Amino acid sequence: MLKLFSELVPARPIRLIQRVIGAVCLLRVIEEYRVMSRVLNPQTIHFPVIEGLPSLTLGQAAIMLPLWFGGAVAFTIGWKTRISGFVLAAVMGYTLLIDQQLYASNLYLLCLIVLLLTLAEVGRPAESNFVWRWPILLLQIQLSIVYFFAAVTKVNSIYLKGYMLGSNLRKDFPAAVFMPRMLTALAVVSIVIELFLAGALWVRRLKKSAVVIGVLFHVTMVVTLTPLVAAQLIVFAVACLSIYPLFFLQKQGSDLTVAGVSLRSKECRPR
Amino acid sequence: MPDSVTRASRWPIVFFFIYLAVQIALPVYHLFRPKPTRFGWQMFSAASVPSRVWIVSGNQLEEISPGAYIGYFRADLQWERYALPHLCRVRSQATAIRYFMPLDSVVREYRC
Repeated sequence: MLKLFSELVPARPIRLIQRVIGAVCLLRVIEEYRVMSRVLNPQTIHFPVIEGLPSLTLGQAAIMLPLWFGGAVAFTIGWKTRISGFVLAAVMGYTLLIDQQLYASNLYLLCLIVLLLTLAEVGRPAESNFVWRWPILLLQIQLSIVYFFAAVTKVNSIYLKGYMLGSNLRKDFPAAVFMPRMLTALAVVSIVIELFLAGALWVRRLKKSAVVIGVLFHVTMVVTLTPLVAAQLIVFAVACLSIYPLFFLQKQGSDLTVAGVSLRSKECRPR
Repeated sequence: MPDSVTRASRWPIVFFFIYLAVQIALPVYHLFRPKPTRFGWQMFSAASVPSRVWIVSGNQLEEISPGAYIGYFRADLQWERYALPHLCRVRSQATAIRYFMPLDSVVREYRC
């Protein structure tokens, strides 16, 4: 077990994921600006996440959002990722605590991904071709946790009666889609898919099917649910799907291979 | 513990297990609380906001949008806890707020 904490994985795929996630954080800050400018308006109701934690003023938000933007740019281009990653994760994490209207599961997931990707590099030489494996393993487990609890919490009467799907599906679908039996069937299918994804990505035989089903599942959500939540669903989809390639990093003893190329878990410095 | 695992390198082990414990314990805890809530991966699982809202002022009944006075309307807001007192405050002539929660069979009333 302790060996896990000295194991390494190739940095190249991880840095590619960093860029994708950084770019998503950049897009997310635009959405956050739109939402924040409405939520922080003094006329609107304050919904505290933690009782007693004061809400932001628009002036404080004017400092926070550029920090988020700057952190995301640096993280995307791979500049000082150890600092920019922590700054980005901290700003996004704090945003989650300001107001319930600013909370979003996609933002929470992004924050955790940025944190773990950053930790994968902590203590590694900047020019190293390898990063720590343990934060990458946590990312994989995190994705399964997301799918598992997303499925389990949907087992309730409101969801199974189709209320949530009925109120969030695009309204231009045929009326047959909104019939109670159809909505219940769709609700059950979505729960089964999420449960499948929680486990299947860990099973060698099912991994590839899980990727296909997972991609279709996220694309279907983006296409079929109301455009009001489309931006957030796209962020959530990219955040989840960016973790999928990590399930294809193969471990062989203490060595690790990617796409069949053996990479010893020793320090490799460019000559 | 091997010698190679020095005090300085113990923090990843501590972080790993604390992270896992929090990420499992938090959603499990929220499973047994009213849904939906935050930090429990409960996306689209339920709604805690009303589908219809009326302001009662004497004998008059005025329907308002459930999203009134809300900057960003989400299904997981603690609407009853925070929106009802706010509506009474900003609608000073209101004597009560009536609202209909999803799949409820009765209209609920909050006296101002």
